[in-house]
Amino acid sequence: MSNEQTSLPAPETFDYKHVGGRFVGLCLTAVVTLIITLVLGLGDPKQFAFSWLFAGSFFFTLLIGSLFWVVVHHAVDSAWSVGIRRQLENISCLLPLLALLLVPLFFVAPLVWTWMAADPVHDHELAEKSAYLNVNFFWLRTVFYFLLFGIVAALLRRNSIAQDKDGAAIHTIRNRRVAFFIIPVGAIALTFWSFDWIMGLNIRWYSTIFGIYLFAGSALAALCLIILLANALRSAGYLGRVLTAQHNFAFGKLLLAFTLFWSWIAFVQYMLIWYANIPEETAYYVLRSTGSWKVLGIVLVVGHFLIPFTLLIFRAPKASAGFLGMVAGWILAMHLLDLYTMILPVLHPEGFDPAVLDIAAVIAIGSTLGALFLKKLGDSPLWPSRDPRLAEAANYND
Amino acid sequence: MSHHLPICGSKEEPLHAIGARFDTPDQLLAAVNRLRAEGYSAYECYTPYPVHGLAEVMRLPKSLLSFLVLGGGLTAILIALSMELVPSTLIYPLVVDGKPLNLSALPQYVPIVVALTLMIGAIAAVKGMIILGGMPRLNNPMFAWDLFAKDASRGFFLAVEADDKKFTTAGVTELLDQLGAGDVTAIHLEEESK
Repeated sequence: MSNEQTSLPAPETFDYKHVGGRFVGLCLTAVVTLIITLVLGLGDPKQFAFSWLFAGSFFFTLLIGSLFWVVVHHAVDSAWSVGIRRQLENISCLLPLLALLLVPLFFVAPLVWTWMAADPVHDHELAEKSAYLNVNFFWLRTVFYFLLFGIVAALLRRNSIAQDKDGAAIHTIRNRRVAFFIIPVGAIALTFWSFDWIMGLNIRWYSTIFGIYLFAGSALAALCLIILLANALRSAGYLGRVLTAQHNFAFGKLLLAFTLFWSWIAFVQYMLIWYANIPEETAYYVLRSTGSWKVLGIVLVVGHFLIPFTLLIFRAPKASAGFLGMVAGWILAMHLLDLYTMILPVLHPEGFDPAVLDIAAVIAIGSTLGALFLKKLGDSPLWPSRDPRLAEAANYND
Repeated sequence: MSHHLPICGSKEEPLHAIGARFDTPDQLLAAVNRLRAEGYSAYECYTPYPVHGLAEVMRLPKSLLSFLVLGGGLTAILIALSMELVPSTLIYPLVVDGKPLNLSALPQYVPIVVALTLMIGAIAAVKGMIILGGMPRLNNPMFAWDLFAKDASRGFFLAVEADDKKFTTAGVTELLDQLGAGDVTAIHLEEESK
């Protein structure tokens, strides 16, 4: 348009002077919380298993959500999001480290997924499902999920970085092919991951929409994360040329859309189960709407849907990065609560019972991932510096 | 003064506007900026696709459409809730499957509320757009201009209307020429068919 700038924004590389002592602080936090988790975990392995699963699932959804945004960027040949794509790539490439952090789950697995300890001979339902629900196949699938998503994330990032060097369009086309491959395969894999890891906490309960529910939360949470990250980088003086107020509008609209998407899927799951009133299906919500768990359920409805929906429906505030950052932080906290109410009621059916381990596990995994992310941040330009659509992205007009 | 201007429509009828065609959206934006700077206010732009920034340059006020949609949606929520709640909890309390009649039975009313809100909101948006856009309108004086009527996607059109306070044929023609406009044409109204 009239104010279009034809010159490409000069690539920026992250300078570690902005991090200062925070990197060391993050590493220290990681080590300290990991030790705390280990000590407390040895005393209460069951609580540790659930807390670790809760924290691990939370970060898994964040990384998968980031991968989703990279994939959808390539699949639809999007221009506006070029400026934030490198950070999404960096986040999704933390998957191997997360897999490593989740290894302890292997040793405490029968404590969370109790069907692993049950004997199919005495459990008719488990015997019926044993072709799918058996320990070997479970771990095989888990390895497959992490390999699949990890390899795809690494491929997308590798091509993107190769393009920084030679600027060849073939890398964009290759990434598009990867995206086309992973959309159907990844959708199925994420669905089965949610079945195995979270629905599998109670093998008598099932909900076919569960995978979509989890995906909706993941995509929304990853969007919140990237908004916060973009704000942080912009306040450190980066990304100014590729992320403008126009991009804030795009963020705001997506945030509203995915808030609605999550709410609708969550409601549909609840409504169908509530209405059909079949005992084996209602068990999930009976547990989560009795005693103090009910309060958290209401907080989720109000905090994950009503508040962000009301805040985001107006147009003008969505241009403000500060406002978006506030809403994004809030929704991220609600996503954490969402996963908490999926997983922890199985351990404490009698009511809400917060443990130090829950918090310690989130901080431990979060700060370890955060430290590696900071280390990766300076390895490559902050945005794909020779992407064919970079000029278009910088001049994006919502 | 206007002898050298091509004329369309009927010469006996009053002048409606002076039309011009630009090749690029940037030229159109520049022209609108200039017109505003010169103090013109009655002009209209016709573009083959929404041009970014044009509404801002023309200083178009915020559309009323969002309020119409909001009103439609809120009305729909009221209609849906009253049509569901009044008969099945007040007039003839309907107990199905042991479901309660209190607030915890709210989920069963939500799908209807959502569907009706979407429907009335969408109708308000479409009908509001039609009404606020001044439709239905059988003819537009601009259609007297063959170039415009046959293919309005051929360029970015601007019409400075004759009822503008500052309007003089010579002044507008000169201004449009300076701005690099093509096909500057005087558009007269057409004879009414009898």
